[in-house]
Amino acid sequence: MFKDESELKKIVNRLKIDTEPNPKHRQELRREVLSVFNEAGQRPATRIIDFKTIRRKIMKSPVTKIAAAAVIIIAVLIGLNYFGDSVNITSTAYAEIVERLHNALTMTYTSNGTTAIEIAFKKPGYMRTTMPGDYVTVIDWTQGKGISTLPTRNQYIEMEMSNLPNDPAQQQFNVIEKLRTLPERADEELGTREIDGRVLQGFRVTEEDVINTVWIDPQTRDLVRVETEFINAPGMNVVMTDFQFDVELDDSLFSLTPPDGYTRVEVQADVSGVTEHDLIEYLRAWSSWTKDGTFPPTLNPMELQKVSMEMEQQGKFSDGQTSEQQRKRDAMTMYRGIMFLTKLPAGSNWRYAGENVKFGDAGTPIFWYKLEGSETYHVIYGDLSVKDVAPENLPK
Amino acid sequence: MVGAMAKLVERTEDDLVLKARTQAEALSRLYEMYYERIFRFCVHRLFDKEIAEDVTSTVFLEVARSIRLFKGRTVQDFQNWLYAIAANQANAYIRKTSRRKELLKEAAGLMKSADGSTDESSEMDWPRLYAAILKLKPLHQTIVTLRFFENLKYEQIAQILNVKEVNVRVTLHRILNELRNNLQSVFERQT
Repeated sequence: MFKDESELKKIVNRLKIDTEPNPKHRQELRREVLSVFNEAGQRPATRIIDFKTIRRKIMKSPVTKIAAAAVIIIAVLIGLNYFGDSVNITSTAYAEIVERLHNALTMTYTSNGTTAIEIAFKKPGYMRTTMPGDYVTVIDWTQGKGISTLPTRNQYIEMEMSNLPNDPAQQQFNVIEKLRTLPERADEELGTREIDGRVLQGFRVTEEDVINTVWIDPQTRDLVRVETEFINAPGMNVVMTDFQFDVELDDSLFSLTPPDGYTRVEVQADVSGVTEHDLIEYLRAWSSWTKDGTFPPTLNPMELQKVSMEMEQQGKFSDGQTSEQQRKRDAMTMYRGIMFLTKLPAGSNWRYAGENVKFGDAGTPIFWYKLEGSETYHVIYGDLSVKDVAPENLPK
Repeated sequence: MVGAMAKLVERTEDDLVLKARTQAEALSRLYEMYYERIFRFCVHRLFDKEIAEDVTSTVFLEVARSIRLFKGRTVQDFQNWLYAIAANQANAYIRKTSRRKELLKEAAGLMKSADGSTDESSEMDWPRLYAAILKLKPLHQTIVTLRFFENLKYEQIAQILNVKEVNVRVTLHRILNELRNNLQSVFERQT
Protein backbone atom coordinates (compact mmCIF):
# COMPACT_ATOMS: atom_id res chain seq x y z
CA MET A 1 0.00 0.00 0.00
CA PHE A 2 1.11 3.65 -0.19
CA LYS A 3 1.12 6.41 2.39
CA ASP A 4 1.20 9.51 0.26
CA GLU A 5 1.54 10.89 -3.22
CA SER A 6 5.27 10.37 -3.54
CA GLU A 7 4.98 6.72 -2.50
CA LEU A 8 2.30 6.11 -5.07
CA LYS A 9 4.53 7.72 -7.69
CA LYS A 10 7.35 5.34 -6.78
CA ILE A 11 5.03 2.37 -6.99
CA VAL A 12 3.78 3.44 -10.42
CA ASN A 13 7.36 3.93 -11.61
CA ARG A 14 8.21 0.38 -10.54
CA LEU A 15 5.28 -1.15 -12.41
CA LYS A 16 6.03 -3.03 -15.59
CA ILE A 17 3.45 -1.78 -18.06
CA ASP A 18 3.81 -2.52 -21.73
CA THR A 19 3.14 0.75 -23.51
CA GLU A 20 5.25 0.01 -26.56
CA PRO A 21 3.26 1.14 -29.60
CA ASN A 22 2.70 -1.04 -32.62
CA PRO A 23 4.57 0.61 -35.53
CA LYS A 24 2.03 -0.73 -38.00
CA HIS A 25 -0.85 0.96 -36.21
CA ARG A 26 1.13 4.15 -35.94
CA GLN A 27 1.82 4.23 -39.67
CA GLU A 28 -1.69 3.30 -40.72
CA LEU A 29 -3.27 5.83 -38.41
CA ARG A 30 -0.93 8.53 -39.68
CA ARG A 31 -2.11 7.87 -43.23
CA GLU A 32 -5.74 7.91 -42.12
CA VAL A 33 -5.29 11.13 -40.13
CA LEU A 34 -3.79 12.93 -43.10
CA SER A 35 -6.47 11.61 -45.40
CA VAL A 36 -9.22 12.83 -43.07
CA PHE A 37 -7.46 16.17 -42.68
CA ASN A 38 -7.30 16.63 -46.44
CA GLU A 39 -10.93 15.62 -46.88
CA ALA A 40 -12.01 17.97 -44.11
CA GLY A 41 -10.35 20.81 -45.97
CA GLN A 42 -12.61 20.23 -48.92
CA ARG A 43 -15.94 19.62 -47.19
CA PRO A 44 -17.45 19.42 -43.69
CA ALA A 45 -16.08 16.65 -41.51
CA THR A 46 -17.83 13.30 -41.70
CA ARG A 47 -18.27 10.54 -39.21
CA ILE A 48 -19.85 7.19 -39.66
CA ILE A 49 -22.86 6.40 -37.52
CA ASP A 50 -23.25 2.82 -36.42
CA PHE A 51 -26.98 2.35 -36.19
CA LYS A 52 -26.39 -1.08 -34.69
CA THR A 53 -25.62 0.72 -31.45
CA ILE A 54 -29.18 1.95 -31.22
CA ARG A 55 -30.76 0.59 -28.08
CA ARG A 56 -32.89 -2.49 -28.39
CA LYS A 57 -35.69 -2.93 -25.93
CA ILE A 58 -38.81 -4.96 -26.47
CA MET A 59 -42.15 -3.43 -25.80
CA LYS A 60 -44.45 -6.11 -24.48
CA SER A 61 -47.40 -4.22 -23.08
CA PRO A 62 -50.60 -4.73 -25.12
CA VAL A 63 -51.68 -1.19 -24.33
CA THR A 64 -48.36 0.10 -25.55
CA LYS A 65 -48.88 -1.87 -28.71
CA ILE A 66 -52.34 -0.39 -29.06
CA ALA A 67 -50.89 3.05 -28.64
CA ALA A 68 -47.78 2.48 -30.68
CA ALA A 69 -48.98 4.24 -33.78
CA ALA A 70 -49.95 7.28 -31.80
CA VAL A 71 -46.91 7.30 -29.59
CA ILE A 72 -44.29 7.13 -32.26
CA ILE A 73 -45.82 9.88 -34.33
CA ILE A 74 -46.30 12.08 -31.30
CA ALA A 75 -42.77 11.42 -30.11
CA VAL A 76 -41.40 12.27 -33.49
CA LEU A 77 -43.28 15.52 -33.68
CA ILE A 78 -42.69 16.47 -30.09
CA GLY A 79 -39.06 15.45 -30.17
CA LEU A 80 -38.55 17.79 -33.04
CA ASN A 81 -40.65 20.47 -31.56
CA TYR A 82 -38.62 20.33 -28.38
CA PHE A 83 -35.47 20.76 -30.29
CA GLY A 84 -36.99 23.34 -32.54
CA ASP A 85 -37.66 25.40 -29.48
CA SER A 86 -34.30 24.73 -27.98
CA VAL A 87 -32.00 26.06 -30.58
CA ASN A 88 -31.38 29.51 -29.26
CA ILE A 89 -28.20 28.43 -27.65
CA THR A 90 -25.21 30.43 -28.62
CA SER A 91 -22.49 32.34 -26.91
CA THR A 92 -19.73 34.42 -28.32
CA ALA A 93 -17.19 32.12 -26.67
CA TYR A 94 -18.39 29.10 -28.60
CA ALA A 95 -19.37 30.65 -31.87
CA GLU A 96 -18.07 27.65 -33.73
CA ILE A 97 -20.90 25.57 -32.28
CA VAL A 98 -23.32 27.98 -33.89
CA GLU A 99 -21.35 27.80 -37.08
CA ARG A 100 -21.51 24.02 -37.00
CA LEU A 101 -25.24 24.09 -36.39
CA HIS A 102 -25.74 26.59 -39.15
CA ASN A 103 -23.72 24.62 -41.65
CA ALA A 104 -24.78 21.09 -40.69
CA LEU A 105 -25.90 18.98 -43.61
CA THR A 106 -26.78 16.13 -41.27
CA MET A 107 -27.21 15.87 -37.54
CA THR A 108 -27.94 13.13 -35.02
CA TYR A 109 -28.74 13.22 -31.32
CA THR A 110 -30.50 11.28 -28.60
CA SER A 111 -33.60 12.64 -26.90
CA ASN A 112 -33.61 11.25 -23.37
CA GLY A 113 -36.87 11.15 -21.47
CA THR A 114 -37.84 7.95 -19.77
CA THR A 115 -37.54 6.64 -23.26
CA ALA A 116 -34.45 7.28 -25.34
CA ILE A 117 -35.11 8.25 -28.94
CA GLU A 118 -32.35 8.35 -31.53
CA ILE A 119 -32.93 11.13 -34.03
CA ALA A 120 -31.17 11.73 -37.34
CA PHE A 121 -31.64 14.52 -39.88
CA LYS A 122 -30.46 15.05 -43.37
CA LYS A 123 -30.95 18.04 -45.59
CA PRO A 124 -33.15 19.16 -47.25
CA GLY A 125 -35.77 17.73 -44.91
CA TYR A 126 -35.37 14.05 -44.08
CA MET A 127 -35.72 12.72 -40.58
CA ARG A 128 -35.43 9.32 -38.94
CA THR A 129 -36.23 8.41 -35.36
CA THR A 130 -35.61 5.11 -33.64
CA MET A 131 -37.41 4.27 -30.44
CA PRO A 132 -36.93 1.34 -28.06
CA GLY A 133 -38.18 -1.82 -29.71
CA ASP A 134 -36.75 -0.66 -33.07
CA TYR A 135 -39.82 1.40 -33.83
CA VAL A 136 -38.45 3.42 -36.72
CA THR A 137 -40.14 6.45 -38.21
CA VAL A 138 -38.93 8.20 -41.34
CA ILE A 139 -40.38 11.51 -42.44
CA ASP A 140 -39.70 13.32 -45.66
CA TRP A 141 -40.80 16.86 -44.95
CA THR A 142 -40.24 17.94 -48.52
CA GLN A 143 -43.09 15.62 -49.58
CA GLY A 144 -45.04 15.84 -46.33
CA LYS A 145 -44.94 12.04 -46.11
CA GLY A 146 -43.75 9.59 -43.53
CA ILE A 147 -43.58 5.93 -42.61
CA SER A 148 -43.39 4.16 -39.26
CA THR A 149 -42.58 0.49 -38.86
CA LEU A 150 -44.00 -1.61 -36.05
CA PRO A 151 -41.69 -4.64 -35.89
CA THR A 152 -43.67 -6.46 -33.20
CA ARG A 153 -46.67 -6.60 -35.53
CA ASN A 154 -44.96 -6.60 -38.93
CA GLN A 155 -46.95 -3.53 -39.84
CA TYR A 156 -46.14 -0.12 -41.18
CA ILE A 157 -48.00 3.16 -41.05
CA GLU A 158 -47.94 5.64 -43.87
CA MET A 159 -48.43 9.22 -42.80
CA GLU A 160 -49.68 12.16 -44.77
CA MET A 161 -48.50 15.21 -42.87
CA SER A 162 -51.31 17.40 -44.09
CA ASN A 163 -51.57 21.04 -43.12
CA LEU A 164 -47.85 21.44 -42.97
CA PRO A 165 -46.20 23.68 -45.53
CA ASN A 166 -44.13 21.78 -48.03
CA ASP A 167 -41.30 24.24 -47.93
CA PRO A 168 -38.83 22.79 -45.42
CA ALA A 169 -37.42 26.24 -44.82
CA GLN A 170 -40.75 27.36 -43.41
CA GLN A 171 -42.37 24.43 -41.68
CA GLN A 172 -42.05 24.38 -37.96
CA PHE A 173 -40.61 20.94 -37.45
CA ASN A 174 -37.55 21.27 -39.60
CA VAL A 175 -34.84 21.54 -37.03
CA ILE A 176 -31.96 22.03 -39.39
CA GLU A 177 -33.60 25.04 -40.96
CA LYS A 178 -34.36 26.47 -37.54
CA LEU A 179 -30.77 25.95 -36.48
CA ARG A 180 -29.59 27.87 -39.47
CA THR A 181 -31.43 30.95 -38.28
CA LEU A 182 -30.00 30.97 -34.77
CA PRO A 183 -29.32 34.35 -33.21
CA GLU A 184 -25.87 34.49 -31.68
CA ARG A 185 -26.64 35.13 -28.05
CA ALA A 186 -27.14 33.38 -24.70
CA ASP A 187 -28.94 35.02 -21.79
CA GLU A 188 -26.72 33.65 -19.07
CA GLU A 189 -23.34 31.94 -18.74
CA LEU A 190 -23.44 29.25 -16.07
CA GLY A 191 -19.72 28.55 -15.76
CA THR A 192 -18.39 25.00 -15.64
CA ARG A 193 -19.90 21.90 -14.11
CA GLU A 194 -19.01 18.22 -14.13
CA ILE A 195 -21.67 16.16 -15.88
CA ASP A 196 -21.18 12.44 -16.50
CA GLY A 197 -17.47 12.74 -15.88
CA ARG A 198 -16.96 15.66 -18.24
CA VAL A 199 -16.34 19.26 -17.30
CA LEU A 200 -18.76 21.29 -19.37
CA GLN A 201 -19.52 24.95 -19.80
CA GLY A 202 -23.17 25.94 -19.57
CA PHE A 203 -25.28 28.59 -21.26
CA ARG A 204 -28.90 29.39 -20.59
CA VAL A 205 -31.43 30.86 -22.96
CA THR A 206 -34.99 31.68 -21.89
CA GLU A 207 -37.69 32.22 -24.47
CA GLU A 208 -41.28 32.68 -23.40
CA ASP A 209 -42.03 29.54 -21.38
CA VAL A 210 -39.06 27.48 -22.51
CA ILE A 211 -35.68 27.42 -20.77
CA ASN A 212 -32.81 25.83 -22.64
CA THR A 213 -29.58 24.98 -20.91
CA VAL A 214 -26.80 24.14 -23.29
CA TRP A 215 -23.61 22.38 -22.23
CA ILE A 216 -20.50 22.59 -24.34
CA ASP A 217 -17.14 20.90 -23.82
CA PRO A 218 -14.74 23.84 -23.71
CA GLN A 219 -11.78 21.68 -24.67
CA THR A 220 -13.17 19.83 -27.65
CA ARG A 221 -15.77 22.56 -28.37
CA ASP A 222 -18.42 19.90 -28.88
CA LEU A 223 -22.09 20.47 -28.13
CA VAL A 224 -22.61 17.80 -25.47
CA ARG A 225 -26.01 18.31 -23.92
CA VAL A 226 -29.15 20.42 -24.20
CA GLU A 227 -31.68 20.45 -21.37
CA THR A 228 -35.09 21.83 -22.24
CA GLU A 229 -37.50 22.82 -19.51
CA PHE A 230 -41.09 23.82 -20.17
CA ILE A 231 -42.26 26.21 -17.50
CA ASN A 232 -45.91 25.72 -18.32
CA ALA A 233 -45.73 22.01 -18.94
CA PRO A 234 -44.20 20.30 -15.93
CA GLY A 235 -43.03 16.77 -16.54
CA MET A 236 -42.34 17.40 -20.22
CA ASN A 237 -38.67 18.24 -19.76
CA VAL A 238 -36.22 16.58 -22.07
CA VAL A 239 -32.45 16.14 -22.22
CA MET A 240 -30.68 15.81 -25.54
CA THR A 241 -27.24 14.26 -25.84
CA ASP A 242 -24.87 12.49 -28.25
CA PHE A 243 -24.90 15.30 -30.80
CA GLN A 244 -23.03 14.65 -34.00
CA PHE A 245 -22.88 16.90 -37.00
CA ASP A 246 -22.25 16.09 -40.62
CA VAL A 247 -22.19 12.39 -39.99
CA GLU A 248 -22.44 10.14 -43.00
CA LEU A 249 -26.08 9.13 -43.36
CA ASP A 250 -26.94 6.99 -46.33
CA ASP A 251 -30.10 7.91 -48.24
CA SER A 252 -31.41 4.39 -47.61
CA LEU A 253 -31.88 5.31 -43.95
CA PHE A 254 -34.57 7.75 -45.05
CA SER A 255 -36.40 5.45 -47.43
CA LEU A 256 -40.18 5.58 -47.36
CA THR A 257 -40.36 2.01 -48.67
CA PRO A 258 -41.65 -0.46 -46.06
CA PRO A 259 -39.72 -3.65 -45.24
CA ASP A 260 -40.71 -6.78 -47.15
CA GLY A 261 -43.60 -8.68 -45.62
CA TYR A 262 -45.02 -5.75 -43.66
CA THR A 263 -48.72 -4.88 -44.01
CA ARG A 264 -50.00 -1.32 -44.24
CA VAL A 265 -51.96 0.71 -41.71
CA GLU A 266 -52.85 4.23 -42.76
CA VAL A 267 -52.93 7.21 -40.43
CA GLN A 268 -53.94 10.71 -41.38
CA ALA A 269 -51.60 12.76 -39.24
CA ASP A 270 -53.50 16.02 -39.47
CA VAL A 271 -52.03 18.34 -36.89
CA SER A 272 -54.38 21.24 -37.52
CA GLY A 273 -57.81 19.93 -36.64
CA VAL A 274 -57.44 18.85 -33.03
CA THR A 275 -59.47 20.56 -30.31
CA GLU A 276 -60.22 20.30 -26.62
CA HIS A 277 -62.80 17.67 -27.54
CA ASP A 278 -59.99 15.37 -28.73
CA LEU A 279 -58.27 15.59 -25.36
CA ILE A 280 -61.53 14.79 -23.59
CA GLU A 281 -62.10 11.75 -25.80
CA TYR A 282 -58.56 10.55 -25.09
CA LEU A 283 -59.12 10.88 -21.35
CA ARG A 284 -62.42 9.04 -21.68
CA ALA A 285 -60.80 6.24 -23.71
CA TRP A 286 -57.94 5.77 -21.24
CA SER A 287 -60.31 5.56 -18.29
CA SER A 288 -62.20 2.82 -20.15
CA TRP A 289 -58.99 0.81 -20.57
CA THR A 290 -58.16 0.78 -16.86
CA LYS A 291 -59.86 -1.65 -14.50
CA ASP A 292 -60.57 1.04 -11.91
CA GLY A 293 -61.63 3.70 -14.41
CA THR A 294 -58.81 6.10 -13.55
CA PHE A 295 -57.29 8.63 -15.92
CA PRO A 296 -53.67 8.42 -17.16
CA PRO A 297 -51.02 9.20 -14.53
CA THR A 298 -49.35 11.61 -16.95
CA LEU A 299 -50.06 13.33 -20.23
CA ASN A 300 -46.42 13.40 -21.21
CA PRO A 301 -46.30 11.34 -24.41
CA MET A 302 -42.62 10.67 -23.87
CA GLU A 303 -43.55 8.84 -20.66
CA LEU A 304 -46.38 6.93 -22.27
CA GLN A 305 -44.52 3.76 -23.13
CA LYS A 306 -43.01 3.42 -19.69
CA VAL A 307 -46.25 4.20 -17.89
CA SER A 308 -48.27 1.76 -19.95
CA MET A 309 -45.70 -0.99 -19.50
CA GLU A 310 -45.65 -0.49 -15.74
CA MET A 311 -49.43 -0.43 -15.53
CA GLU A 312 -49.65 -3.57 -17.63
CA GLN A 313 -47.22 -5.35 -15.33
CA GLN A 314 -49.31 -4.26 -12.37
CA GLY A 315 -52.45 -5.66 -14.03
CA LYS A 316 -54.18 -2.29 -14.13
CA PHE A 317 -55.63 -2.61 -17.62
CA SER A 318 -58.81 -4.48 -18.50
CA ASP A 319 -58.31 -7.91 -20.07
CA GLY A 320 -60.98 -7.56 -22.77
CA GLN A 321 -60.08 -8.39 -26.35
CA THR A 322 -60.20 -5.59 -28.89
CA SER A 323 -60.46 -5.84 -32.64
CA GLU A 324 -57.80 -4.53 -34.97
CA GLN A 325 -60.23 -1.81 -36.06
CA GLN A 326 -60.81 -0.74 -32.47
CA ARG A 327 -57.07 -0.65 -31.78
CA LYS A 328 -56.61 1.69 -34.72
CA ARG A 329 -59.39 3.94 -33.46
CA ASP A 330 -57.86 3.92 -29.97
CA ALA A 331 -54.46 4.83 -31.35
CA MET A 332 -55.93 7.72 -33.27
CA THR A 333 -57.89 8.91 -30.24
CA MET A 334 -54.73 8.92 -28.18
CA TYR A 335 -52.75 10.63 -30.87
CA ARG A 336 -55.23 13.43 -31.40
CA GLY A 337 -55.72 13.96 -27.67
CA ILE A 338 -52.06 14.43 -27.02
CA MET A 339 -51.55 16.52 -30.11
CA PHE A 340 -53.98 19.00 -28.59
CA LEU A 341 -51.43 19.63 -25.85
CA THR A 342 -48.64 20.21 -28.30
CA LYS A 343 -50.73 22.83 -30.05
CA LEU A 344 -51.52 24.85 -26.95
CA PRO A 345 -49.77 28.19 -27.22
CA ALA A 346 -47.08 29.44 -24.88
CA GLY A 347 -48.84 31.11 -21.99
CA SER A 348 -51.74 28.64 -21.84
CA ASN A 349 -50.21 27.53 -18.55
CA TRP A 350 -51.82 24.11 -18.73
CA ARG A 351 -51.80 21.70 -15.83
CA TYR A 352 -52.81 18.07 -15.54
CA ALA A 353 -53.98 16.57 -12.25
CA GLY A 354 -55.77 13.42 -13.36
CA GLU A 355 -53.53 10.83 -11.70
CA ASN A 356 -55.61 8.50 -9.49
CA VAL A 357 -58.84 10.39 -10.34
CA LYS A 358 -61.67 8.13 -11.54
CA PHE A 359 -63.96 8.90 -14.45
CA GLY A 360 -67.18 10.36 -13.11
CA ASP A 361 -65.68 12.40 -10.29
CA ALA A 362 -67.48 15.66 -11.11
CA GLY A 363 -65.93 17.58 -8.23
CA THR A 364 -62.25 17.11 -9.16
CA PRO A 365 -60.57 19.27 -11.81
CA ILE A 366 -58.16 17.14 -13.85
CA PHE A 367 -56.98 19.54 -16.53
CA TRP A 368 -57.03 23.31 -17.00
CA TYR A 369 -55.59 25.82 -19.40
CA LYS A 370 -56.07 29.42 -20.46
CA LEU A 371 -57.22 30.34 -23.95
CA GLU A 372 -55.38 33.11 -25.71
CA GLY A 373 -56.81 36.48 -24.70
CA SER A 374 -59.12 34.95 -22.08
CA GLU A 375 -59.31 36.06 -18.45
CA THR A 376 -60.57 32.69 -17.26
CA TYR A 377 -59.37 29.11 -17.50
CA HIS A 378 -61.08 26.16 -19.17
CA VAL A 379 -61.28 23.42 -16.56
CA ILE A 380 -62.03 19.78 -17.36
CA TYR A 381 -63.45 17.80 -14.44
CA GLY A 382 -63.39 14.11 -13.63
CA ASP A 383 -66.78 13.61 -15.28
CA LEU A 384 -65.23 15.28 -18.36
CA SER A 385 -67.49 18.30 -18.10
CA VAL A 386 -65.90 21.68 -18.88
CA LYS A 387 -66.38 24.99 -17.05
CA ASP A 388 -64.83 28.46 -17.14
CA VAL A 389 -63.06 29.25 -13.89
CA ALA A 390 -61.39 32.44 -12.66
CA PRO A 391 -57.64 32.09 -11.95
CA GLU A 392 -58.14 32.64 -8.21
CA ASN A 393 -60.49 29.64 -8.06
CA LEU A 394 -58.08 27.17 -9.67
CA PRO A 395 -56.67 24.33 -7.57
CA LYS A 396 -53.42 25.28 -5.87
CA MET B 1 22.68 29.54 -24.95
CA VAL B 2 20.75 26.43 -23.97
CA GLY B 3 17.85 28.63 -22.82
CA ALA B 4 17.85 30.51 -26.09
CA MET B 5 17.85 27.24 -28.04
CA ALA B 6 14.96 25.94 -25.96
CA LYS B 7 12.96 29.07 -26.65
CA LEU B 8 13.67 28.78 -30.34
CA VAL B 9 12.51 25.16 -30.39
CA GLU B 10 9.40 26.12 -28.48
CA ARG B 11 8.61 28.93 -30.90
CA THR B 12 9.14 26.58 -33.84
CA GLU B 13 6.77 24.06 -32.30
CA ASP B 14 4.21 26.79 -31.66
CA ASP B 15 4.45 27.74 -35.32
CA LEU B 16 3.78 24.11 -36.11
CA VAL B 17 0.46 24.28 -34.28
CA LEU B 18 -0.62 27.33 -36.26
CA LYS B 19 0.50 25.77 -39.54
CA ALA B 20 -1.25 22.47 -38.75
CA ARG B 21 -4.59 24.19 -39.24
CA THR B 22 -3.93 24.35 -42.95
CA GLN B 23 -0.86 22.24 -43.72
CA ALA B 24 -0.86 18.44 -43.66
CA GLU B 25 2.90 18.32 -43.20
CA ALA B 26 2.71 20.32 -39.98
CA LEU B 27 -0.08 18.10 -38.68
CA SER B 28 1.98 15.07 -39.59
CA ARG B 29 4.86 16.34 -37.48
CA LEU B 30 2.60 17.05 -34.52
CA TYR B 31 1.19 13.53 -34.91
CA GLU B 32 4.67 12.05 -34.72
CA MET B 33 5.45 14.18 -31.68
CA TYR B 34 2.36 13.14 -29.72
CA TYR B 35 1.31 9.71 -30.95
CA GLU B 36 3.33 7.81 -28.38
CA ARG B 37 2.26 10.01 -25.50
CA ILE B 38 -1.43 9.69 -26.29
CA PHE B 39 -1.15 5.96 -26.89
CA ARG B 40 0.60 5.54 -23.55
CA PHE B 41 -2.11 7.58 -21.83
CA CYS B 42 -4.76 5.36 -23.44
CA VAL B 43 -2.98 2.17 -22.32
CA HIS B 44 -2.89 3.51 -18.78
CA ARG B 45 -6.57 4.42 -18.89
CA LEU B 46 -7.80 1.35 -20.74
CA PHE B 47 -5.40 -1.44 -19.76
CA ASP B 48 -5.75 -3.23 -23.08
CA LYS B 49 -3.36 -2.25 -25.87
CA GLU B 50 -5.78 -3.03 -28.67
CA ILE B 51 -8.49 -0.91 -27.10
CA ALA B 52 -5.91 1.80 -26.53
CA GLU B 53 -5.08 1.71 -30.23
CA ASP B 54 -8.75 2.15 -31.13
CA VAL B 55 -9.18 5.11 -28.81
CA THR B 56 -5.90 6.66 -29.94
CA SER B 57 -7.22 6.44 -33.48
CA THR B 58 -10.43 8.17 -32.45
CA VAL B 59 -8.45 10.95 -30.79
CA PHE B 60 -6.22 11.73 -33.75
CA LEU B 61 -9.04 11.43 -36.28
CA GLU B 62 -11.00 13.93 -34.22
CA VAL B 63 -7.97 16.20 -34.28
CA ALA B 64 -7.72 15.85 -38.06
CA ARG B 65 -11.35 16.82 -38.42
CA SER B 66 -11.34 19.70 -35.97
CA ILE B 67 -7.92 21.28 -36.06
CA ARG B 68 -9.06 23.94 -38.49
CA LEU B 69 -11.33 25.20 -35.70
CA PHE B 70 -8.71 24.82 -32.95
CA LYS B 71 -8.16 28.17 -31.27
CA GLY B 72 -5.00 27.33 -29.32
CA ARG B 73 -1.71 28.86 -30.40
CA THR B 74 1.00 26.94 -28.59
CA VAL B 75 2.18 23.34 -28.31
CA GLN B 76 1.06 23.44 -24.72
CA ASP B 77 -2.47 24.36 -25.83
CA PHE B 78 -2.33 21.58 -28.39
CA GLN B 79 -1.12 19.01 -25.89
CA ASN B 80 -3.85 19.99 -23.43
CA TRP B 81 -6.42 19.67 -26.18
CA LEU B 82 -5.13 16.21 -27.12
CA TYR B 83 -5.26 14.99 -23.54
CA ALA B 84 -8.76 16.44 -23.10
CA ILE B 85 -10.04 14.59 -26.15
CA ALA B 86 -8.25 11.40 -25.09
CA ALA B 87 -9.65 11.64 -21.56
CA ASN B 88 -13.19 12.11 -22.87
CA GLN B 89 -12.90 9.26 -25.36
CA ALA B 90 -11.43 6.90 -22.77
CA ASN B 91 -14.15 7.81 -20.27
CA ALA B 92 -16.80 7.30 -22.92
CA TYR B 93 -15.38 3.85 -23.56
CA ILE B 94 -15.28 2.88 -19.91
CA ARG B 95 -18.71 4.34 -19.14
CA LYS B 96 -20.33 1.56 -21.06
CA THR B 97 -20.87 -0.91 -18.22
CA SER B 98 -20.16 -4.04 -20.16
CA ARG B 99 -16.82 -2.72 -21.33
CA ARG B 100 -15.86 -1.75 -17.82
CA LYS B 101 -16.62 -5.30 -16.76
CA GLU B 102 -14.47 -6.64 -19.58
CA LEU B 103 -11.55 -4.49 -18.50
CA LEU B 104 -11.91 -5.63 -14.90
CA LYS B 105 -12.14 -9.23 -16.01
CA GLU B 106 -8.97 -8.87 -17.99
CA ALA B 107 -7.18 -7.25 -15.08
CA ALA B 108 -8.39 -10.04 -12.76
CA GLY B 109 -7.19 -12.62 -15.26
CA LEU B 110 -3.69 -11.21 -15.18
CA MET B 111 -3.65 -11.32 -11.40
CA LYS B 112 -3.59 -15.10 -11.67
CA SER B 113 -0.32 -16.91 -11.91
CA ALA B 114 0.54 -19.29 -14.71
CA ASP B 115 -0.62 -22.40 -12.83
CA GLY B 116 -4.12 -20.93 -12.48
CA SER B 117 -3.94 -20.11 -8.80
CA THR B 118 -4.42 -16.57 -7.61
CA ASP B 119 -1.31 -14.52 -6.93
CA GLU B 120 -1.67 -13.78 -3.27
CA SER B 121 1.56 -11.83 -2.88
CA SER B 122 1.31 -8.46 -1.21
CA GLU B 123 3.33 -6.87 -4.02
CA MET B 124 1.52 -4.15 -5.91
CA ASP B 125 1.20 -4.95 -9.59
CA TRP B 126 -0.41 -3.22 -12.57
CA PRO B 127 -3.61 -5.34 -12.75
CA ARG B 128 -4.33 -4.74 -9.05
CA LEU B 129 -3.71 -1.02 -9.27
CA TYR B 130 -5.78 -0.75 -12.43
CA ALA B 131 -8.69 -2.63 -10.84
CA ALA B 132 -8.56 -0.18 -7.93
CA ILE B 133 -8.36 2.86 -10.22
CA LEU B 134 -11.29 1.61 -12.25
CA LYS B 135 -13.47 1.82 -9.16
CA LEU B 136 -13.00 5.59 -9.02
CA LYS B 137 -15.23 8.10 -10.78
CA PRO B 138 -14.21 8.61 -14.44
CA LEU B 139 -12.93 12.13 -13.79
CA HIS B 140 -10.91 10.91 -10.82
CA GLN B 141 -9.46 8.07 -12.89
CA THR B 142 -8.31 10.68 -15.38
CA ILE B 143 -6.69 12.78 -12.68
CA VAL B 144 -4.79 9.77 -11.30
CA THR B 145 -3.56 8.83 -14.76
CA LEU B 146 -2.46 12.34 -15.65
CA ARG B 147 -0.74 12.88 -12.34
CA PHE B 148 0.95 9.56 -11.64
CA PHE B 149 1.36 7.94 -15.04
CA GLU B 150 1.86 11.00 -17.23
CA ASN B 151 3.64 12.96 -14.48
CA LEU B 152 1.84 16.19 -15.30
CA LYS B 153 1.86 19.20 -13.01
CA TYR B 154 -1.27 20.26 -11.20
CA GLU B 155 -1.45 23.37 -13.33
CA GLN B 156 -1.53 21.40 -16.56
CA ILE B 157 -4.06 18.89 -15.26
CA ALA B 158 -6.27 21.83 -14.29
CA GLN B 159 -5.96 23.27 -17.79
CA ILE B 160 -6.80 19.95 -19.42
CA LEU B 161 -9.84 19.42 -17.23
CA ASN B 162 -10.79 23.08 -17.29
CA VAL B 163 -10.95 23.39 -13.50
CA LYS B 164 -9.03 25.42 -10.95
CA GLU B 165 -5.63 24.16 -9.86
CA VAL B 166 -6.65 24.23 -6.23
CA ASN B 167 -9.58 21.96 -7.04
CA VAL B 168 -7.25 19.38 -8.54
CA ARG B 169 -5.06 19.45 -5.41
CA VAL B 170 -8.00 19.06 -3.05
CA THR B 171 -9.68 16.42 -5.19
CA LEU B 172 -6.48 14.42 -5.48
CA HIS B 173 -6.19 14.26 -1.72
CA ARG B 174 -9.64 12.68 -1.53
CA ILE B 175 -8.90 10.41 -4.48
CA LEU B 176 -5.82 8.98 -2.77
CA ASN B 177 -7.85 8.01 0.29
CA GLU B 178 -10.43 6.33 -1.89
CA LEU B 179 -7.79 4.62 -3.98
CA ARG B 180 -6.14 3.26 -0.83
CA ASN B 181 -9.47 1.75 0.25
CA ASN B 182 -10.08 0.34 -3.20
CA LEU B 183 -6.67 -1.30 -3.21
CA GLN B 184 -7.34 -2.74 0.22
CA SER B 185 -10.51 -4.38 -1.03
CA VAL B 186 -8.77 -5.67 -4.17
CA PHE B 187 -6.13 -7.37 -2.02
CA GLU B 188 -8.69 -8.66 0.47
CA ARG B 189 -10.82 -10.18 -2.26
CA GLN B 190 -7.88 -12.29 -3.31
CA THR B 191 -6.92 -13.59 0.10
